[in-house]
Amino acid sequence: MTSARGGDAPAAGARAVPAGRSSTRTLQRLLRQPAFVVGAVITCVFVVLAVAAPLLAPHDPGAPLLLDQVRAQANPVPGPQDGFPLGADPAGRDLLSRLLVGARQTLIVGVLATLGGLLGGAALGLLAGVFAGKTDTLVMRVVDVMLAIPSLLMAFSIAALFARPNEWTLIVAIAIVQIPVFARLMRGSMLVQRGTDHVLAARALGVRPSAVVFRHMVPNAMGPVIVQGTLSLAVSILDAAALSFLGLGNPDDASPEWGQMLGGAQQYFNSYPHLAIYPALCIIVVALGFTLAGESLRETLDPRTRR
Amino acid sequence: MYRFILRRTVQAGATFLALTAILFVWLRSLPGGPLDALLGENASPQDRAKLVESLGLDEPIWTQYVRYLGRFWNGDLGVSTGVWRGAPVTEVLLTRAPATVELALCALVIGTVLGVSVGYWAATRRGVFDFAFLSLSVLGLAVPVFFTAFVLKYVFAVRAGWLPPSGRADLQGVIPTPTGLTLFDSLLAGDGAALLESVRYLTLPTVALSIIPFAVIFRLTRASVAETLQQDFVRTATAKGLRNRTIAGRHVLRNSLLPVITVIGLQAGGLFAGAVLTETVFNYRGLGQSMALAFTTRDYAVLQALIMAVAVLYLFVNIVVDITNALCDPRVRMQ
Repeated sequence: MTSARGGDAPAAGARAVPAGRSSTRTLQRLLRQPAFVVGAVITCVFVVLAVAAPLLAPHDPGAPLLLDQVRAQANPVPGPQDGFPLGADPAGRDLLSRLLVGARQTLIVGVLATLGGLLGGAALGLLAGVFAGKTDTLVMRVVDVMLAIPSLLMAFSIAALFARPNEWTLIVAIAIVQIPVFARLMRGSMLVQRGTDHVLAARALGVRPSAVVFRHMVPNAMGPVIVQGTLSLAVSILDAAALSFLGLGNPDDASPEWGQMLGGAQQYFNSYPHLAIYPALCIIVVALGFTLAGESLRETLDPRTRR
Repeated sequence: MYRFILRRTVQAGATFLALTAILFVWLRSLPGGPLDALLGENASPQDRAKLVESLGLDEPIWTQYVRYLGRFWNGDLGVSTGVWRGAPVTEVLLTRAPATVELALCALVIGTVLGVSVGYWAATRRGVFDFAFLSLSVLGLAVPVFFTAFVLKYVFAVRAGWLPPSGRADLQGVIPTPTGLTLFDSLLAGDGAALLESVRYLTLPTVALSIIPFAVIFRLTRASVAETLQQDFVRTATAKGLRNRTIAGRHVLRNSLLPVITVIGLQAGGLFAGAVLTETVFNYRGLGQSMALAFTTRDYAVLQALIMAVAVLYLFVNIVVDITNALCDPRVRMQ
């Protein structure tokens, strides 16, 4: 159930509160913030829509049902009509169904790309934070070099490496770009953990080093990383849209993703702006949801970090 | 201080070397390899064999890498295989750079000036105004840049017809163009009509591109100023009876702007990625649009040069930022 991940993030973040604060109190504090409530509601609705998309979609998103209208009329984009509340796209496919199924694809791309970046970055940060010294210097130099290329630009360059782009090139490109952020966060978190009393106590008690790292340090260090994950979901979805716009996304549009719909709608923008506006609004609302939820989480859990 | 500058420069040099290595590997791992990248997919076997020999592709990889660095050093970045087939990449880079520099600078200046001033205002006055701008800035970060650009173009150029929908002011032959920066050249020539023309073409792309730097800088300034206002030294300054303007300038802003300067440096990189999208929408003939075209035509020689140019620029901006920070805050120097 990877698709439920977006909804899980708040709870997971709340659990990682340091110093044994009761998680219910944190949750109460979160629920008092309108920004968090709005963000969480948007996130939940999005996840439900994405999961239930095949049930909710009135038509097959890849079926050119209104193709005869597209062909017959001088008007190449069929408007709203019976059974097609938002009309169809230039290939005669139901727009509403495409948006709904698009929610699922967008969630998959966003979650997998973020998860890839999170795991990759956390692993690097873990190495740097645990072994310190030379390993730390080496890992952080690599991260610095990655940061020397602006992230979106690096995503473009990675995506351009593939002769035939598809959904996975998009995910891989965005995931790699997210690695440095998570690596830095995880390293910082691990370094803080190294100096804490409970880690010292565990070591003094003779707990195995691997257990100290994975049972005492990592669970406590993951909090900020998971919060950043919520924020990165928004970034992933926006980056995916940018890549699709430049033609570096998935060219197969039978089961569309919002960024791809938006990218494909650009050429009709001056005559049929609604084709671009619907997917764009979806992207904006969802990115807003993740950002609001993520930022309230970060502020509540750690008042010191700000950007 | 000099040691600090030296250390940062050496660090940047090392990063640059690592980057060239990465780009070297990148060029090797392209679909079809460097031959396709340089000759295009439909080159004849004879041409290929000739290129293998002339490029020394049969030599050990280390020799190749050193030679590759040497070519960089001499400013030889290869030949375009896509849109500008046959044109030296250096030429493409140089003719198009001024357009992007102008656009990015305008966007950065507008984003920074507005972001810092509105951010300061919001932090000191709170209330409805603060809330409105905070909401707007969160929204600004959630909208894809190219979509903003399309909406601006649709509303102000296509529908209202107030501003040109695409392109860049062409002043060649109208006034002397020593720098290639349209605003600067018109000012230099003292030509009002040319200046107006330049502004008309620059307005929409600049607005689209400045939204993200504005949102980021606004939010950071706001948070930073709000925190500084809580500090004891600000209360002391007020208690001493200093004028508000003195407190704002000397105590609050000076201490709040350190993180803001750092973020301005980081935004410089994002601006270029934004320029790729914005320039494409407005068909604005700069480096960003070249890059988008190079992606669609898989023109790797151009791509490589552009990525390198941006990375160098980005490294340079960040050294400047670090030095500025060190000048403002003695603590940074000691780290």
